[in-house]
Amino acid sequence: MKQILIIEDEDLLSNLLQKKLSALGYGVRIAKSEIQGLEMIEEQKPDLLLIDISMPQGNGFRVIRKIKRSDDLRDISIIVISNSGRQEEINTAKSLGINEWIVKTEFDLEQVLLKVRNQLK
Amino acid sequence: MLSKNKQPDSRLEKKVQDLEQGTKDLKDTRSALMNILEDVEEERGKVEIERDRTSAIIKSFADGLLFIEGNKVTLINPKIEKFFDISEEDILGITLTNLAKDKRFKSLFALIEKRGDSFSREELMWTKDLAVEISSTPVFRDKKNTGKIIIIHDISREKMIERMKTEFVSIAAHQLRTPLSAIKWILKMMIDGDLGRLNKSQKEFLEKTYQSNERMIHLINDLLNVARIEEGRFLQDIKKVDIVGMVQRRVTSARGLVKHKKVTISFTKPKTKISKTNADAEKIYLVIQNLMDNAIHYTKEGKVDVKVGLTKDKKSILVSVSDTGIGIAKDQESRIFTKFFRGANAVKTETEGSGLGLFIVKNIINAHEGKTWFESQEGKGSTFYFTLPIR
Repeated sequence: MKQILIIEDEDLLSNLLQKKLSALGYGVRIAKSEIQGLEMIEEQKPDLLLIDISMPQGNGFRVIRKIKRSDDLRDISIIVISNSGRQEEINTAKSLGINEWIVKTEFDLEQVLLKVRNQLK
Repeated sequence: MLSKNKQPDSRLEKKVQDLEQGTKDLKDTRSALMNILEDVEEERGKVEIERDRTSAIIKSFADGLLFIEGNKVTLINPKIEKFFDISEEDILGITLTNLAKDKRFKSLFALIEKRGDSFSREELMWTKDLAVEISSTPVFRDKKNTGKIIIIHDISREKMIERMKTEFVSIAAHQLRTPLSAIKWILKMMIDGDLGRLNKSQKEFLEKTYQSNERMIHLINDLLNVARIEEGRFLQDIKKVDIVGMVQRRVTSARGLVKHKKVTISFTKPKTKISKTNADAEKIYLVIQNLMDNAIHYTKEGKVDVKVGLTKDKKSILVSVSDTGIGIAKDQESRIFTKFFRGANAVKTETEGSGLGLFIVKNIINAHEGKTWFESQEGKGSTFYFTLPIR
């Protein structure tokens, strides 16, 4: 079973994603902060990370940097889900090596699920 | 003897008379001169009062004043001393050539060189924390240009308030996006029947709610774009873009939007091949989208025609969007690109709308050093044009 970790402080969104992704047959865990997320990655390495960039507790960019610097974790697929569509942030994230950047308001849940499925094929 | 003396007597008398007259004239002249002197004295007093008054005004003036006559600075006020961090003795009488060498005056001279003697309210970042507005007026004496007055107005506070306002909008809009995306996702799931079957009217209501939510997201995106324009960090991703292909894509997707309307959309291709040009693709797409959305929204029935070609000098791409819609009233033409403005007939036709679309369009095209304009007749339709320099 492919493992997905969601790092997102907005309960409603993370619960929705978990419900939908579990129904598709993925193992899904949720972290609500940067620190909790890093702990959970250490506990069990996920195949894909769905991460919000701006959270009150912590910064998604730091998590992405840590993953991409580690030889063991580098191959985790990363999809950023963010409220921001700022090009400079997207460019920074892409240069760090993320797979996708999703602006929450511009996508429906179905489209997000499709992107997850494509990454985990 | 007597008769002989009679003549000299009368001569004497005449002389006495003349002398008396002369004395009187002298007295009159003296008193006239005294009067004049008194008048002069009085006038001098008045001039002195006037001078003191003018000097007090200049000295206490909230703006910086700098008087240049001939090739020299002849008058400054204390505010100028503060702005330039210089004392009156160090600047009066100094030639402009020498002054231009002083790095404190560098930006002022660069501005004068660029704009000449007469300009009004040019903004300049004087230092990191000091923003000013500079105006210059030439001075004439007997129709001859004798110098100029430069007025420097501190606008740092206005700039700070403007910045805070923009930051506030930006933060507020970002915070609003979070709940709106949650609402969007959940409504979509409900409409798709993921959370249980819905009856027809439930579905209809949810679809309407979904559309309202989409409008709110759209408005917030507009506000964020305006905030970015005002922060001066709008264009970020400049690369080679195929404008013709982009317009064509938008035309295709817009045809889907007008299915339920009596509006046809046509696309006129350029006569010659247009190569790719450097631009911010996302922003230019937003321009095309905004112009076409307006054309469609404000045309009840008829046609929308989108053309792409080159300008006469072939140095720019010219895009036009024409419609047979409600048009723009003559007296509102000048305000059409201003922030939050919506034409009276537009508000009547379509109650929704932020009045930000065309403001965003103009700013995006300006940032690309292109031009935006329109032709319109109320009740007949409008054509909006923009150019993009090819580079």
